[in-house]
Amino acid sequence: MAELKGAGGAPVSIAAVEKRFGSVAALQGVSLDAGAGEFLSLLGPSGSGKTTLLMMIAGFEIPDRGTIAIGGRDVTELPANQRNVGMVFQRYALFPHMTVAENIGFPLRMRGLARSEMSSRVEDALKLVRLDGYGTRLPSQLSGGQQQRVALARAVVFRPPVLLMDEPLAALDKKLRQAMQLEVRHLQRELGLTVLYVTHDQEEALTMSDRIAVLNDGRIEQIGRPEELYEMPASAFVADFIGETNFLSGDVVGLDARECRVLLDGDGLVTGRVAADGLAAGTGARLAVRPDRVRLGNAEGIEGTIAERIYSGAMLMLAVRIGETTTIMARGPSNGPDADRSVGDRVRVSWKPEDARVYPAAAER
Amino acid sequence: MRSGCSAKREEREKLMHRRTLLSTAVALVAALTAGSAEAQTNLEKAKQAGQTEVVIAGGAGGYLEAVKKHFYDPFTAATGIKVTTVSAPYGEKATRLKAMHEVGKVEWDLVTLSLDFLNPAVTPFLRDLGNCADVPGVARNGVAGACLRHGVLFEIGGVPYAFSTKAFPAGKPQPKTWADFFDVKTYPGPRSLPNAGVPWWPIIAALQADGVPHDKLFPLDLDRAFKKLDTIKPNVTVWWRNGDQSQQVVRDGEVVMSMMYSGRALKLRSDGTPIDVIWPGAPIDAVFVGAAKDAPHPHAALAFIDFLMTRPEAHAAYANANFYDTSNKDALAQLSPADQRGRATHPDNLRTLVAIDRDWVSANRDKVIERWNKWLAQ
Amino acid sequence: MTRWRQVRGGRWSPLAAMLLLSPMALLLIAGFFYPLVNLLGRSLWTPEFSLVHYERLLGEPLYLLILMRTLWIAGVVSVFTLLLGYPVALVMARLGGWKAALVAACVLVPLWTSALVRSYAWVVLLQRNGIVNDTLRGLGLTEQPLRLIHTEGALLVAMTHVLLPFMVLPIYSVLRAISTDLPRAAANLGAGTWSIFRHVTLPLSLPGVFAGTLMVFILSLGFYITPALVGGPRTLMIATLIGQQMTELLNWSFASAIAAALLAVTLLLVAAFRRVLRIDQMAGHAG
Ligand SMILES: Nc1ncnc2c1ncn2[C@@H]1O[C@H](COP(=O)(O)OP(=O)(O)O)[C@@H](O)[C@H]1O
Ligand SMILES: [Mg+2]
Repeated sequence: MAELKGAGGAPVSIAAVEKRFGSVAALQGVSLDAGAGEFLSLLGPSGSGKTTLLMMIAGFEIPDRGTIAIGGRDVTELPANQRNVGMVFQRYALFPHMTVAENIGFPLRMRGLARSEMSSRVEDALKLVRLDGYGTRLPSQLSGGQQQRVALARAVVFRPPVLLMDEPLAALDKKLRQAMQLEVRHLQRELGLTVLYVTHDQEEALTMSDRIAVLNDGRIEQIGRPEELYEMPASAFVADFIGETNFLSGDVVGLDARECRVLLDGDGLVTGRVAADGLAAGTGARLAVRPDRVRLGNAEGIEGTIAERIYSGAMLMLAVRIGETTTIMARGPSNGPDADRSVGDRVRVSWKPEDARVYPAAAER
Repeated sequence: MRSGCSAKREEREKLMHRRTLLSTAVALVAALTAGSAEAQTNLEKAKQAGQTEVVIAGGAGGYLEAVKKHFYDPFTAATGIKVTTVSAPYGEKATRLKAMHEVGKVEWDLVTLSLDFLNPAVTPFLRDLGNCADVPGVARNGVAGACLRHGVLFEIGGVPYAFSTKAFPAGKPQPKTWADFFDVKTYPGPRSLPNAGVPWWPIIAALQADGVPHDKLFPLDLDRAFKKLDTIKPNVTVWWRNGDQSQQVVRDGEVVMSMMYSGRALKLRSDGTPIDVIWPGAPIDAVFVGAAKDAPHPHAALAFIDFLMTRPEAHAAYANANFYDTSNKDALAQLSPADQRGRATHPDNLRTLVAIDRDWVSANRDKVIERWNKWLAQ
Repeated sequence: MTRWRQVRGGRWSPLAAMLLLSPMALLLIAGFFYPLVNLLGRSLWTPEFSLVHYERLLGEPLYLLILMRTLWIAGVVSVFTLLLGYPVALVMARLGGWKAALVAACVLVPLWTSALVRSYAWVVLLQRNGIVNDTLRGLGLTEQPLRLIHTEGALLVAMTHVLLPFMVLPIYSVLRAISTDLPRAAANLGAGTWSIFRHVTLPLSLPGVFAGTLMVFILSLGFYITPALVGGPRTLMIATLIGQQMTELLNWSFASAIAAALLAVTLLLVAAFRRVLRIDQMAGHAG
């Protein structure tokens, strides 16, 4: 296994990259720095430009503008086969006519390694992904998870400093996906690789990443550590995309440097932290609060009725109806203080001001 | 109703026949009337049997149009019997005829084939007309020998050779014989010979070129013929497989001499291709009309043959359009003297033509074709 | 009665599958197996069982010679169409969209005209006073017209032209079906253009090569009109021979024997070819 440890990771630096496909602006001014050995996820909805960005780092697309550097070297126009970057494709892209060992040995063969050296490295790689003994099989004789591991082994066997992964686990079922998440993370730490990991699954991004870049419409909305994104989403889009969020719309009635009071459309005055520029008294605003930060009680807060009760094992979710149009979701442990509440009960809904964030309504995408 | 009616008629005919035996004087008259009565009989029999259609497997294209205009349409006009045509090459017609007999459902009444198909592989599927007593029109209007037992002669031509008068213009030496065709020193240039399943034609040409008189060819001396053919093989650039091809190579100047169907050659010449046709020593080629055995409309078929033999003016017009002579005995006389001279049946030509010994060919067909293929493939 | 109703989960019951397949099967039986059995029967029973036709076939060197020549021509045409057709298919697969359709149309044009017209087109081009000879003489490259038409070379060119689509289309469709991820993955792993082709595209396209070559080879064996019009006396092919026996000599038994022999040889060659390709494929990704 020590054999597979190369020079460790290399930093990846993307500066002001733009790319158009005809009339579609796939990327519009994306800048991003991944440190050596960092696990950075690219998270965003379908069509936000994640794959395009990855393809540019791999060398399959050339940016219209901007530069890409790996390990301090400008590779913007370097052909793909000279970039020495590992990549795991969403549908694995294993060569169907080659055995597992031949697949994994392919990059070594391309690099002209001696046969003996090659087979020992292939063996190591197979061990690394716990597939020793599978070398002579064809990809079609493996399960999806096994194929995924072969793809992973093939992508790291030539000791690239950077590993690109495009939704590599999307096709696996949930259990297998979780196991593979751990495995990928383990491998990354073991080898000290810089990983750029594309996913549209925010939960996956939160659990695996050192940092996450949230993409939307070819732009980066926010880059930060998972807890930063969760606790302090920089935009309503991020707040919406990461974790679950109640959005309440209304008008700003009071504002200071830290806090903002909003009169909800459905009546009721609420408070939250100022999370973005552009708020002023009298303007429209959206207040975001996570369901797990919503507290139910009988004394303070806005009044409503429990409209729905959703039990999901460890957690209990209650939907509280406020007025005609607004529903606020509250979540807590299923054996917590709200366990006894049932549909039709009157409750009061509140939260700590620092748990809620207010964005200008115009910032809505 | 119908069968009863025809039975009555047959009885009357028998009666008539008996009477002819009774008295010479009556016999003479009766024989004459019997002739005309019988000539009508084929048609009448057809009518009474409800045979309002006759299916003829013939040629295609311009050829079909000419036959339709001069024979099929007038026949329909005269008799009310509709003519349905089927077009296919000779070989295919023979094959289909055989296949129809194999499955036991013959769909054709008449089929035109080249004389070459009058062999034991094909005759079992053709009605044996004997001496054509049932088709009196043949004896009455046809040329001598028009009755072929399994069919009736229709078109008569030959397989002479044509040479380019551009390559060999008048005033300079021009080829006149088969020996000249084989003489590439005096008459240089590429030649064309048929490779159309009838190898005895070029064999006949070779033997004559080697000095065998045209009436002493059969039985064909194959060894001698192929030895002679060896001498010209390098100069034969096209072995044509069908009539169109034989015309094309001559028209386009691909060859300077080509053995070809007389009608094809005469047509080329009349269209302005500078060629002359050398008749002496040309094998006779002819087309006959055979009546299919177990045909759906046998009476209508014979009625058509009767009709086909009549009307010399139609034959002449047809022969003019199609460049083949036909088997009506008075037709040639209707052509201009110059035209007559170019025709196979003109006495001066006919005398020099080579009649195919069909018995010999039938007996040796397989052998000759196999040897020909082998020689050609070498 | 109850079992065949259990059509569930996208699985067909045996009866349903049989019902779906039966039209094709009937067609195959009527259009292929029956004639085949008939053909074999005819070649062996005339009407008593006899090997006389096969004896003639094997005893007379002419027929073996023609068979060999036919196989040779079919083989050369297959190789020619492959060499010409593979790059075309590759370009078509790369282009995609309307450009690929345009190239496909150009490749398919020969199929829109009859064999007769196509063959005559070659005659016009290659004959003594044809365009090629005239041009060569006009340029002063030759003095005498070259003998181009009615040669084996002309036949090979004409047949290659006619059969090209049958090579291009199967290869094209196989190439199109190769996921674009695969060459990308290869490039990512360090393969240059040639290596990608050699190790990924080429081996994955072999089923198309097999199908195309087989199609061209088998169609070549049956060529009839083109050899007659464009080929020379030495290019007598087996189909012409069968036709001659069928239609000129009405010797169906012997024609059947030739056809049966041709079928047997073809099947043997196809089996051998399959094997060779498969071995080749193995060798392609062993080292
Ligand atoms: N090769 C291409 N041609 C045209 N449009 C493309 C191409 N690749 C991507 N796009 C467009 O660019 C945008 C971003 O695509 P992509 O990077 O694949 O998004 P994601 O991977 O985040 O789903 C989409 O609108 C997509 O349709
Ligand atoms: Mg994508």
